[in-house]
Amino acid sequence: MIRTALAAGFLLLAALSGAPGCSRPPDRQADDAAALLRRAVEAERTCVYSGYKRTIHGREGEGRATRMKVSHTSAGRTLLEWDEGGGPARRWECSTRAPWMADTDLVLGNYSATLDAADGPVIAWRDTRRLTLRSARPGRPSLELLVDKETSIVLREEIRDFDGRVWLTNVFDTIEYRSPPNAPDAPPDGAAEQLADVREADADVPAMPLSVTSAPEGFRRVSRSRAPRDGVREDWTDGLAAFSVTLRPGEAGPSSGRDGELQRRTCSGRASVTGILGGVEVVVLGNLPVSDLEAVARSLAPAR
Amino acid sequence: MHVYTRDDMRHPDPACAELSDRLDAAATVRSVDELAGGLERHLAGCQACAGLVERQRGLVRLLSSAPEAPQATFDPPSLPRRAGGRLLPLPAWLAAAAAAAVFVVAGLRLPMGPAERVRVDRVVDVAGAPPPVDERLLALTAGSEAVAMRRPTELR
Repeated sequence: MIRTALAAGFLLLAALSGAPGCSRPPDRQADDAAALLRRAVEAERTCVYSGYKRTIHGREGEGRATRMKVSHTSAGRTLLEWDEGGGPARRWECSTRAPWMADTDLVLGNYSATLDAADGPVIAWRDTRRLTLRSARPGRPSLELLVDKETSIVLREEIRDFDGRVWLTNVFDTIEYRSPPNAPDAPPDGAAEQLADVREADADVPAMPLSVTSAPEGFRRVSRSRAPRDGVREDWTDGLAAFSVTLRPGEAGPSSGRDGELQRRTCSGRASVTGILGGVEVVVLGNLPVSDLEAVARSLAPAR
Repeated sequence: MHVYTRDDMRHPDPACAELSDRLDAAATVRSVDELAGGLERHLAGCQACAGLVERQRGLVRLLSSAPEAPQATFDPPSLPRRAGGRLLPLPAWLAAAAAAAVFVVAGLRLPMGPAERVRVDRVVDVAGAPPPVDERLLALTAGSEAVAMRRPTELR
């Protein structure tokens, strides 16, 4: 009797203390991952840093890379600087560096976040944790983040397209958590080009002649704006993937095809569907499988 | 083609679940402002729920506009009754409920009529012509650094 009670007590203690090597329950892991993602977004707003990073089209070491200086100033401004070599630097200012930072709730509603139990690799001499965002739905991109273990700043991003190929890599080579020596807290007017926030809607945009009646699951319209040649466009996103619908007056012709014909084009990680539908030129473009974009085009109906 | 169904309402958002429960009410009110409990605000921001309510309203309109069945009376031929005293092996209320369920499910899954959507006759795959790179989409999918990365080489 006593032996049984001791054994039960031991088992209870082991369960409560968490035996070494035991993994945490999946829901706790997901909570930790979501919390780290939110901390990363907050750190991007509050941390002052300056460093050099590369943006690589494709896999690191393989694709075309552009090296830039990235600063987040004490005044809360994010500046990107590019120096061709010898010439004056070009400077841009943006409100949000990464699109997934703009709406964390939308991203977490559509993608499951997982956090590796083990530490990630050292990036820019900083220890990291690896956070991955994947969708349960097929045909969606995925994102791997290496987050500074101490400050929660994202030091490396790797975006894979819906086919699983590495599409874009952003990685810091160096980073300092202080203002740069010549702090560009207040660059003179015109010194920095503004990279417009796509989510800011244009004023007085005409109504769309056709409207999307069934968007892919999880997508939300984030903006409506004017497009060239008397066009209007809508941009939709699920947090990582996005598509746009552009409509303008159009006529059937040799290049656009006859009315009622959809032309599908695909390239690695992105696709488009174009056509003249009921006298309206329709262009649906996005980083989704072409079948998803075709479904969007087919769902268009006269706006009421 | 995706058609909104009740399956789309399996959403972690409890407001979506509540909307699913009150779908009939939402589809029959004159204005969504009459909906209590903040559902009108939810409908303004949730594409899936708004789409489902719109579909349900279409179904209600369709049913309302159908002409009334002609009134006719006739004497049914007398059929041999089953030993249990019923024509169907189910209680009448259960058969009616099953028929109603089939009707509702079929109605929800019906695609919109061809007259309501654009007409697509043909789909052609165009080879050797990649889709254009769009800067706004690049900003939405890759971020500002990718947009800036394109500009040094394009604008200089």
